[in-house]
Amino acid sequence: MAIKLQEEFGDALQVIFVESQGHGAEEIERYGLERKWFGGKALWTSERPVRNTSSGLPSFVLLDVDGRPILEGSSIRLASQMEEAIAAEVQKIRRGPEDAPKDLKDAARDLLRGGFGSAATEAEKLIQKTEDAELAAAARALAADASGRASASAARIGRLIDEGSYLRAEDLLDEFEKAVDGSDALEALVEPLRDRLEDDALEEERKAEKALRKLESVLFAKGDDAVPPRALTKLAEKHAGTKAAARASHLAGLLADG
Amino acid sequence: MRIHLTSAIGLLASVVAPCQDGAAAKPAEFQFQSRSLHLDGVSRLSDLRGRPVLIEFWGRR
Repeated sequence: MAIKLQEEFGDALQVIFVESQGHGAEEIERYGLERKWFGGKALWTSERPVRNTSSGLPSFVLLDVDGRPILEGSSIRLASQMEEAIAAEVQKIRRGPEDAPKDLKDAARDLLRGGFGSAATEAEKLIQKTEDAELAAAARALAADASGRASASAARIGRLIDEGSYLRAEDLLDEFEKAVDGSDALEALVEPLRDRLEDDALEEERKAEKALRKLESVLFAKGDDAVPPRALTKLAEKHAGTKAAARASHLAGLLADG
Repeated sequence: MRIHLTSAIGLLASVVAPCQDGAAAKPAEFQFQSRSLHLDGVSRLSDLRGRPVLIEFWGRR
Protein backbone atom coordinates (compact mmCIF):
# COMPACT_ATOMS: atom_id res chain seq x y z
CA MET A 1 0.00 0.00 0.00
CA ALA A 2 2.64 2.55 1.06
CA ILE A 3 4.85 1.61 -1.91
CA LYS A 4 1.89 2.33 -4.22
CA LEU A 5 1.26 5.66 -2.46
CA GLN A 6 4.91 6.64 -2.97
CA GLU A 7 4.58 5.85 -6.68
CA GLU A 8 1.21 7.61 -6.95
CA PHE A 9 2.25 10.84 -5.21
CA GLY A 10 5.89 10.83 -6.41
CA ASP A 11 8.02 13.63 -4.98
CA ALA A 12 4.98 15.23 -3.32
CA LEU A 13 5.16 12.54 -0.61
CA GLN A 14 7.99 10.89 1.29
CA VAL A 15 7.43 7.36 2.56
CA ILE A 16 9.75 5.94 5.22
CA PHE A 17 9.54 2.20 5.87
CA VAL A 18 10.53 1.24 9.39
CA GLU A 19 11.28 -2.44 9.99
CA SER A 20 9.79 -3.07 13.41
CA GLN A 21 10.60 -6.66 14.34
CA GLY A 22 14.30 -6.27 14.99
CA HIS A 23 15.65 -8.26 12.04
CA GLY A 24 19.22 -7.58 10.97
CA ALA A 25 20.00 -5.18 8.12
CA GLU A 26 21.13 -7.93 5.73
CA GLU A 27 18.05 -10.01 6.39
CA ILE A 28 15.81 -7.01 5.69
CA GLU A 29 17.72 -6.20 2.49
CA ARG A 30 17.49 -9.78 1.25
CA TYR A 31 13.77 -9.87 2.04
CA GLY A 32 13.15 -6.56 0.24
CA LEU A 33 15.17 -7.63 -2.82
CA GLU A 34 13.18 -10.84 -3.13
CA ARG A 35 9.96 -8.82 -3.19
CA LYS A 36 11.27 -6.09 -5.54
CA TRP A 37 10.60 -3.42 -2.93
CA PHE A 38 13.74 -1.35 -3.51
CA GLY A 39 14.75 1.11 -6.19
CA GLY A 40 11.87 3.57 -5.67
CA LYS A 41 11.79 6.88 -3.83
CA ALA A 42 10.91 5.39 -0.43
CA LEU A 43 13.42 5.40 2.43
CA TRP A 44 14.20 2.29 4.49
CA THR A 45 15.35 2.08 8.07
CA SER A 46 15.07 0.02 11.22
CA GLU A 47 15.23 3.14 13.44
CA ARG A 48 11.94 4.49 14.73
CA PRO A 49 11.87 8.21 13.94
CA VAL A 50 8.57 8.80 15.79
CA ARG A 51 6.68 7.08 18.59
CA ASN A 52 4.14 4.63 17.25
CA THR A 53 1.25 4.04 19.61
CA SER A 54 -0.52 1.43 17.44
CA SER A 55 -0.15 -2.14 18.61
CA GLY A 56 -0.28 -4.12 15.34
CA LEU A 57 1.65 -4.13 12.07
CA PRO A 58 1.54 -2.62 9.56
CA SER A 59 0.78 0.72 11.15
CA PHE A 60 1.67 4.29 10.31
CA VAL A 61 2.20 7.85 11.50
CA LEU A 62 1.53 10.62 8.97
CA LEU A 63 3.39 13.93 9.35
CA ASP A 64 2.11 17.13 7.76
CA VAL A 65 4.27 19.40 5.58
CA ASP A 66 5.75 20.99 8.71
CA GLY A 67 6.64 17.63 10.27
CA ARG A 68 3.76 17.53 12.77
CA PRO A 69 2.00 14.18 13.34
CA ILE A 70 -1.60 14.43 12.10
CA LEU A 71 -2.88 10.85 11.82
CA GLU A 72 -1.81 7.44 12.99
CA GLY A 73 -3.19 3.94 13.24
CA SER A 74 -3.51 0.67 11.36
CA SER A 75 -2.33 0.93 7.74
CA ILE A 76 -4.92 -1.64 6.70
CA ARG A 77 -7.99 -0.37 8.53
CA LEU A 78 -7.18 3.30 7.92
CA ALA A 79 -5.98 2.95 4.33
CA SER A 80 -8.55 5.29 2.81
CA GLN A 81 -8.26 7.93 5.58
CA MET A 82 -4.50 7.82 5.18
CA GLU A 83 -4.72 8.43 1.44
CA GLU A 84 -7.25 11.25 1.90
CA ALA A 85 -5.04 12.93 4.52
CA ILE A 86 -2.00 12.73 2.21
CA ALA A 87 -4.02 14.17 -0.69
CA ALA A 88 -5.19 17.02 1.59
CA GLU A 89 -1.58 17.83 2.54
CA VAL A 90 -0.53 17.83 -1.12
CA GLN A 91 -3.46 20.14 -1.89
CA LYS A 92 -2.31 22.43 0.91
CA ILE A 93 0.99 22.89 -0.93
CA ARG A 94 -0.83 23.67 -4.19
CA ARG A 95 -3.28 26.09 -2.56
CA GLY A 96 -0.61 27.97 -0.64
CA PRO A 97 -0.62 29.16 2.97
CA GLU A 98 -3.92 30.28 4.43
CA ASP A 99 -2.75 31.77 7.70
CA ALA A 100 0.22 33.88 6.54
CA PRO A 101 -0.07 37.70 6.85
CA LYS A 102 -1.23 39.28 3.58
CA ASP A 103 2.13 40.98 2.88
CA LEU A 104 3.99 37.74 3.49
CA LYS A 105 1.67 35.46 1.56
CA ASP A 106 3.76 35.28 -1.64
CA ALA A 107 6.92 34.46 0.30
CA ALA A 108 5.10 31.84 2.38
CA ARG A 109 3.62 30.28 -0.76
CA ASP A 110 7.06 30.16 -2.41
CA LEU A 111 8.54 28.50 0.67
CA LEU A 112 5.73 25.94 0.81
CA ARG A 113 6.45 25.06 -2.82
CA GLY A 114 10.17 24.72 -2.20
CA GLY A 115 11.24 28.09 -3.63
CA PHE A 116 13.81 28.88 -0.93
CA GLY A 117 15.53 31.66 -2.88
CA SER A 118 12.45 33.67 -3.81
CA ALA A 119 10.91 33.16 -0.35
CA ALA A 120 14.03 34.44 1.40
CA THR A 121 14.37 37.42 -0.94
CA GLU A 122 10.70 38.42 -0.62
CA ALA A 123 10.91 38.17 3.17
CA GLU A 124 14.11 40.21 3.32
CA LYS A 125 12.56 42.94 1.15
CA LEU A 126 9.64 43.11 3.56
CA ILE A 127 11.94 43.35 6.58
CA GLN A 128 13.57 46.44 4.99
CA LYS A 129 10.26 48.02 4.00
CA THR A 130 7.84 47.45 6.85
CA GLU A 131 7.47 49.48 10.03
CA ASP A 132 5.21 46.84 11.54
CA ALA A 133 7.38 45.06 14.15
CA GLU A 134 5.16 41.96 14.21
CA LEU A 135 5.25 41.62 10.44
CA ALA A 136 9.02 42.13 10.39
CA ALA A 137 9.43 39.38 13.00
CA ALA A 138 7.28 37.01 10.91
CA ALA A 139 9.34 37.89 7.81
CA ARG A 140 12.60 37.25 9.69
CA ALA A 141 11.30 33.86 10.85
CA LEU A 142 10.31 32.96 7.29
CA ALA A 143 13.68 34.05 5.86
CA ALA A 144 15.46 31.99 8.53
CA ASP A 145 13.24 29.00 7.75
CA ALA A 146 14.00 29.29 4.00
CA SER A 147 17.71 29.54 4.73
CA GLY A 148 17.59 26.57 7.13
CA ARG A 149 15.77 24.39 4.64
CA ALA A 150 18.20 25.33 1.87
CA SER A 151 21.17 24.48 4.12
CA ALA A 152 19.58 21.13 5.01
CA SER A 153 19.11 20.36 1.30
CA ALA A 154 22.72 21.30 0.53
CA ALA A 155 23.94 19.11 3.40
CA ARG A 156 21.88 16.18 2.09
CA ILE A 157 23.48 16.52 -1.36
CA GLY A 158 26.90 16.65 0.31
CA ARG A 159 26.16 13.40 2.15
CA LEU A 160 25.07 11.72 -1.10
CA ILE A 161 28.43 12.70 -2.65
CA ASP A 162 30.23 11.32 0.43
CA GLU A 163 28.31 8.05 0.05
CA GLY A 164 29.15 7.73 -3.66
CA SER A 165 25.61 8.40 -4.91
CA TYR A 166 26.76 10.88 -7.54
CA LEU A 167 23.88 10.45 -9.99
CA ARG A 168 21.29 11.05 -7.29
CA ALA A 169 23.33 13.99 -5.94
CA GLU A 170 23.42 15.49 -9.44
CA ASP A 171 19.63 15.22 -9.82
CA LEU A 172 19.03 16.83 -6.42
CA LEU A 173 21.60 19.55 -7.12
CA ASP A 174 19.81 20.49 -10.38
CA GLU A 175 16.55 20.81 -8.41
CA PHE A 176 18.34 22.70 -5.64
CA GLU A 177 19.81 25.21 -8.09
CA LYS A 178 16.27 26.11 -9.19
CA ALA A 179 15.03 26.19 -5.60
CA VAL A 180 17.60 28.79 -4.46
CA ASP A 181 17.27 30.98 -7.55
CA GLY A 182 16.78 34.62 -6.61
CA SER A 183 18.89 34.73 -3.45
CA ASP A 184 22.63 35.42 -3.82
CA ALA A 185 23.34 34.02 -0.37
CA LEU A 186 21.56 30.73 -1.05
CA GLU A 187 22.80 30.45 -4.65
CA ALA A 188 26.32 30.45 -3.20
CA LEU A 189 25.60 27.00 -1.74
CA VAL A 190 25.43 25.49 -5.23
CA GLU A 191 28.94 26.03 -6.59
CA PRO A 192 30.94 24.10 -3.95
CA LEU A 193 28.67 21.09 -4.46
CA ARG A 194 28.94 21.36 -8.25
CA ASP A 195 32.74 21.57 -7.92
CA ARG A 196 32.79 18.42 -5.81
CA LEU A 197 30.64 16.53 -8.31
CA GLU A 198 32.72 17.65 -11.30
CA ASP A 199 36.04 16.86 -9.66
CA ASP A 200 38.21 14.83 -12.10
CA ALA A 201 39.34 12.67 -9.20
CA LEU A 202 35.86 11.13 -9.12
CA GLU A 203 36.01 9.88 -12.72
CA GLU A 204 36.63 6.22 -11.79
CA GLU A 205 34.05 6.38 -8.97
CA ARG A 206 31.44 7.72 -11.36
CA LYS A 207 32.15 5.09 -14.02
CA ALA A 208 31.78 2.40 -11.38
CA GLU A 209 28.53 3.90 -10.13
CA LYS A 210 27.05 3.97 -13.64
CA ALA A 211 27.95 0.30 -14.17
CA LEU A 212 26.45 -0.65 -10.81
CA ARG A 213 23.32 1.40 -11.47
CA LYS A 214 22.62 -0.72 -14.58
CA LEU A 215 22.81 -3.97 -12.59
CA GLU A 216 20.82 -2.51 -9.68
CA SER A 217 18.01 -1.35 -11.95
CA VAL A 218 17.61 -4.93 -13.27
CA LEU A 219 17.87 -6.35 -9.75
CA PHE A 220 15.29 -3.96 -8.29
CA ALA A 221 12.86 -4.36 -11.19
CA LYS A 222 13.12 -8.10 -11.84
CA GLY A 223 14.09 -9.50 -8.45
CA ASP A 224 17.04 -11.30 -6.92
CA ASP A 225 17.18 -14.06 -9.56
CA ALA A 226 17.71 -11.58 -12.40
CA VAL A 227 21.33 -10.70 -11.60
CA PRO A 228 23.89 -13.45 -10.92
CA PRO A 229 26.16 -12.67 -7.94
CA ARG A 230 29.13 -13.27 -10.28
CA ALA A 231 28.17 -10.19 -12.34
CA LEU A 232 28.39 -8.06 -9.21
CA THR A 233 31.65 -9.66 -8.12
CA LYS A 234 33.15 -8.97 -11.55
CA LEU A 235 32.07 -5.34 -11.32
CA ALA A 236 33.66 -5.09 -7.88
CA GLU A 237 36.92 -6.51 -9.23
CA LYS A 238 36.95 -4.25 -12.29
CA HIS A 239 36.34 -1.10 -10.22
CA ALA A 240 38.22 -2.20 -7.09
CA GLY A 241 38.63 0.49 -4.43
CA THR A 242 35.53 2.46 -5.38
CA LYS A 243 32.40 2.92 -3.27
CA ALA A 244 30.36 1.22 -6.00
CA ALA A 245 32.67 -1.80 -5.79
CA ALA A 246 32.04 -2.07 -2.05
CA ARG A 247 28.29 -1.89 -2.66
CA ALA A 248 28.50 -4.46 -5.47
CA SER A 249 30.41 -6.88 -3.20
CA HIS A 250 27.79 -6.37 -0.50
CA LEU A 251 24.95 -7.12 -2.93
CA ALA A 252 26.80 -10.15 -4.32
CA GLY A 253 27.09 -11.50 -0.76
CA LEU A 254 23.36 -10.97 -0.15
CA LEU A 255 22.40 -12.74 -3.38
CA ALA A 256 24.82 -15.62 -2.83
CA ASP A 257 23.47 -16.22 0.69
CA GLY A 258 19.84 -15.86 -0.36
CA MET B 1 -24.62 -3.85 26.33
CA ARG B 2 -22.70 -1.09 28.06
CA ILE B 3 -19.67 -3.36 28.22
CA HIS B 4 -19.96 -4.12 24.52
CA LEU B 5 -20.28 -0.45 23.66
CA THR B 6 -17.24 0.40 25.78
CA SER B 7 -15.25 -2.36 24.08
CA ALA B 8 -16.31 -1.11 20.67
CA ILE B 9 -15.22 2.44 21.50
CA GLY B 10 -11.93 1.12 22.87
CA LEU B 11 -11.31 -0.90 19.70
CA LEU B 12 -12.14 2.07 17.50
CA ALA B 13 -9.74 4.26 19.46
CA SER B 14 -6.95 1.75 18.93
CA VAL B 15 -7.62 1.70 15.18
CA VAL B 16 -8.32 5.36 14.43
CA ALA B 17 -6.03 7.77 16.17
CA PRO B 18 -6.03 11.28 14.78
CA CYS B 19 -3.08 13.01 16.38
CA GLN B 20 -3.21 16.27 18.30
CA ASP B 21 -4.59 19.30 16.53
CA GLY B 22 -2.07 20.11 13.79
CA ALA B 23 -1.44 23.64 15.04
CA ALA B 24 -0.74 22.44 18.57
CA ALA B 25 1.40 19.39 17.84
CA LYS B 26 5.15 19.92 17.73
CA PRO B 27 7.11 18.95 14.60
CA ALA B 28 8.66 15.53 15.08
CA GLU B 29 12.47 15.61 15.32
CA PHE B 30 14.82 12.69 14.90
CA GLN B 31 18.44 12.18 13.90
CA PHE B 32 19.08 8.97 11.97
CA GLN B 33 22.20 6.94 12.67
CA SER B 34 24.48 5.46 10.04
CA ARG B 35 23.08 1.95 10.57
CA SER B 36 19.96 2.84 8.57
CA LEU B 37 19.42 0.84 5.38
CA HIS B 38 18.64 3.43 2.72
CA LEU B 39 18.08 7.07 3.59
CA ASP B 40 19.05 8.79 0.33
CA GLY B 41 21.26 11.29 2.16
CA VAL B 42 18.58 12.22 4.70
CA SER B 43 20.08 12.72 8.14
CA ARG B 44 17.22 14.17 10.17
CA LEU B 45 13.46 13.89 9.91
CA SER B 46 13.33 17.69 9.58
CA ASP B 47 15.30 17.41 6.29
CA LEU B 48 11.99 16.25 4.79
CA ARG B 49 9.91 19.29 5.78
CA GLY B 50 7.91 20.75 2.92
CA ARG B 51 6.00 17.59 2.00
CA PRO B 52 3.93 15.08 3.94
CA VAL B 53 5.88 12.14 5.35
CA LEU B 54 4.26 8.73 5.74
CA ILE B 55 6.12 6.60 8.27
CA GLU B 56 5.11 2.98 7.76
CA PHE B 57 5.99 0.43 10.45
CA TRP B 58 6.18 -3.05 8.99
CA GLY B 59 7.26 -6.56 9.83
CA ARG B 60 7.67 -9.88 8.07
CA ARG B 61 4.59 -12.05 8.06
